[in-house]
Amino acid sequence: MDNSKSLGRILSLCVVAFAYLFLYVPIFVLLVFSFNTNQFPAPWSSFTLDWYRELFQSSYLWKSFSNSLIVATSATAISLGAGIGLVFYAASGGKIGKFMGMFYGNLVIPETVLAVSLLSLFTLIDIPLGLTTLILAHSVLGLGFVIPIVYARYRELDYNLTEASFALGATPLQTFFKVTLPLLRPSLVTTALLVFIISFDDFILSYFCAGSSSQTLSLYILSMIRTGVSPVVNALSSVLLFLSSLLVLFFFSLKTRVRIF
Amino acid sequence: MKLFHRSLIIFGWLAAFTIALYLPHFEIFPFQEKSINLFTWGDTIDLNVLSEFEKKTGIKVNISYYSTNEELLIKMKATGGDDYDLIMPSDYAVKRLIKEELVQKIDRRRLNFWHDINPALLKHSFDPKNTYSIPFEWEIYGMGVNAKFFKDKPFQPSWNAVFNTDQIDYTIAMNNDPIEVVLFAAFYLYNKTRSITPEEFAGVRKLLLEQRKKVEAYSDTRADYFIATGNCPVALSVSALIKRVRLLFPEVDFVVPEEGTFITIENLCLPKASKKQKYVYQLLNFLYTKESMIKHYDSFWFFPATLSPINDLDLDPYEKKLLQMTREEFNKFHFIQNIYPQQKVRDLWVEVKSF
Amino acid sequence: MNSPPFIKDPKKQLPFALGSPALLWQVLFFYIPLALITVSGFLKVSELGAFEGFSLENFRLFFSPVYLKTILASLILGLSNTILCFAIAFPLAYFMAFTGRKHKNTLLFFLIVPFWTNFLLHVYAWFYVLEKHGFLNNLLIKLGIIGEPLQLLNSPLAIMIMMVYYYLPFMVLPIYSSLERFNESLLEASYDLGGNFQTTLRKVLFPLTSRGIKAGVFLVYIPSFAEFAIPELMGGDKKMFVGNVISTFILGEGTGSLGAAFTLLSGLILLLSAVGLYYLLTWILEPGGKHG
Repeated sequence: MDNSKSLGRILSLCVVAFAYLFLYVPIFVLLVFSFNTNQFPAPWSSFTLDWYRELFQSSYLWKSFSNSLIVATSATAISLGAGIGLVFYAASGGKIGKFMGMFYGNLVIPETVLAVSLLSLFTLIDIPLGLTTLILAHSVLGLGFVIPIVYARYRELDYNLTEASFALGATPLQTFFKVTLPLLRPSLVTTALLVFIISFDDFILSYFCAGSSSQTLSLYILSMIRTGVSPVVNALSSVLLFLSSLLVLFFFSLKTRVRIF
Repeated sequence: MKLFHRSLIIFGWLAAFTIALYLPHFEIFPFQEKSINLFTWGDTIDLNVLSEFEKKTGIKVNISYYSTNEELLIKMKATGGDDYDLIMPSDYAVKRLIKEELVQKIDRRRLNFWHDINPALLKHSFDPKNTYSIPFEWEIYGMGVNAKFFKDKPFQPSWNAVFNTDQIDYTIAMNNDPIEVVLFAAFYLYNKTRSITPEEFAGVRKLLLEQRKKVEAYSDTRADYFIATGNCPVALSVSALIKRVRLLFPEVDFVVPEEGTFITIENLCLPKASKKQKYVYQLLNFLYTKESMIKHYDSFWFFPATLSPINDLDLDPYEKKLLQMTREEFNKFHFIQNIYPQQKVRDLWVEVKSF
Repeated sequence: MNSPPFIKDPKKQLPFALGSPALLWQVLFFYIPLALITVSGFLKVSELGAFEGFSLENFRLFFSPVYLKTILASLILGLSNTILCFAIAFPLAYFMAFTGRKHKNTLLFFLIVPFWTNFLLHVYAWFYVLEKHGFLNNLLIKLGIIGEPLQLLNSPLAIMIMMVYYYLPFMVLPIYSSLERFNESLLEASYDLGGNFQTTLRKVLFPLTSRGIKAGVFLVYIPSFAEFAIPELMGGDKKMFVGNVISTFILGEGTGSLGAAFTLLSGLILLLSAVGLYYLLTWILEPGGKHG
């Protein structure tokens, strides 16, 4: 009994070590070579910051970075706004419980199918593809996160608090802004972060719905991969990894973690 | 009443969404008197050259991109081309545009570079008198070859090098466009470049399925990468891409198959509906200057349509040879076109890439 | 009674005004597009773009061995990826939740950072590792394990490696979440009652975490089925899966309704397989029913 338990422990330790090695060796290699003077596949020659310099001077990069930023923030704002509005409706007595199931589909269907369906809508009503269509597409994804999570959290709230607020003479509107929303804030922030990241890193929706004229970060990286291998992408990777780490740190600093499952 | 209110609200939101969605459409082409809308391939027009042009003349150039000729053709047919002032169709696309009466005649008197254009690029069948189109750049299909790998082995610059599966003992990087691949295969098997019979298509199918064994990867844009990384010593590709890798790895050669090969010529045309000729001709004269052509070559390595820059470009011997060809030699090249019903070609491509 | 209706307490409709965009958005931009795709699949469009009526011809086209093989390949891809991910994820999640509990935050942090970085960059990173003169080959040659560099990229192996790499966190996080609220004393109790590792797993651990496991499985299985970027970049674009076929048809000119038909067909097969998978999982994880 003890043997099988410790065997289980050793085995799981091996798996864990392997898993993290597996996850980080490529990243490490990528980082190291971002400082290499030689281009791939030449081996290491000497240390340089040239690629970082080239990266920060590339106007294409900044354009796509800002596009991705715009799309991600807008999509997050839209999904959050819609989600808050919906909760407000529920808090004011609207009966929407039975409609909640409508929002689960967004995450269940493959993103490719969603992208393809949206593309056919856009072509049908003749909207030019660009940042707006992207923001729209990402918000649909965002809604699939925001609504189920926030609404579930709302349902978990202690109704006594809102009751007390009414008893003290507050209007529904005041109650919502001064009691309900602050209570929901942790899950709102977490969800916003999630949606932002997913939108910023998203590739499939951009691939189909961005059109040929607008470039997001994912598409920029894809075009760089498709046209060769340049250490500028390595430099970009290390910068983005650094930014992601900051975001994850921020996520961990929020004391509450949302129960998504 | 509640229903009435609610319907009003929903209608309000619908209106808001519609406005938000269609808003950019009006912003993309704002009515600026001194501007041109350029619609072209990605990586064909150098943005620095455009900003120089803007500085010099004060004419703003708005550039948007398409990725296939089909996309261009569909947009032109749908809108009549009234969104654009200058487009860059490939050879066969020019023919279609002329047929559909979507492009206007070029007034050569307003151009100051016509004498400089490589005569080999003019008077082709898609626009016999060049009434509607001006060649801008061209590229040729061939093979990138890792000379180090073939140091002690014979290498025949022929289509056999990629298609004769029994005789090659290395892997190759192949083109990823089914229309082009079917065309090359048909040329290799039957010397046909216009159209093929179903029996011949069956032969092409057999060849492509057989060839799979030796294919390392299918790619249009990364062929040079596969050679550079040593993944395969031979890659089917266009000269510009191979030139790109030659700059870093000079042991890669570019060869043209001796049986003949294919080219594409990218041309500039003015959509019929455009009223901005005044500005477009200024842009054309600027684009075709020696300096501009040199800059374009340095950025993208396509062959320029004009002759004057040739001595100033950093050309390899094979490039010089190609650019100084006579008309007779040039006529031996073929253009890319669709030689079999598209759906069957697509089905074949999925079959080639299935398990 | 005589006042115009819309002046009468408009504030009453404020909640609806604020709450409706969410539902409206969902209907307009999720359900209607899906309906469009469904209808599109039945449209017959000529090569020049002329609408020719409704028919099942698009589907007939895809009922050929070539396309059905593609769908099968995607099913296998999805399943194998799910199994591989689970094999690594479950021990990993278990470790994070119990054995390594003290370090769980650090472990989570290092798991999420790659998860929150752009996927294409990871593809790019693996090029460096798997290339003919890349990290892994150089290492193996230096260690004397092999003499000539191995061809690792542009192969099914490379595709699988990347798939597991990308989808692993999707499997780990739900399982970890499930395990985290698990009371370790239950496991102790099981051992005390005479069970060994295997029975504990089957009778206690799996049933109580089945919800998390199922979530992880579907978060991996469904997107893996439709994956097209990884086979293209890591597999040398030598094999087409469902996603590749869909993108070829949808992005091609004049083939939109064909693309829609294929999307429908493969979507249906995916749905059926997912339902089957769900019941299979329930049967495996919860032997004797949920209260067994």
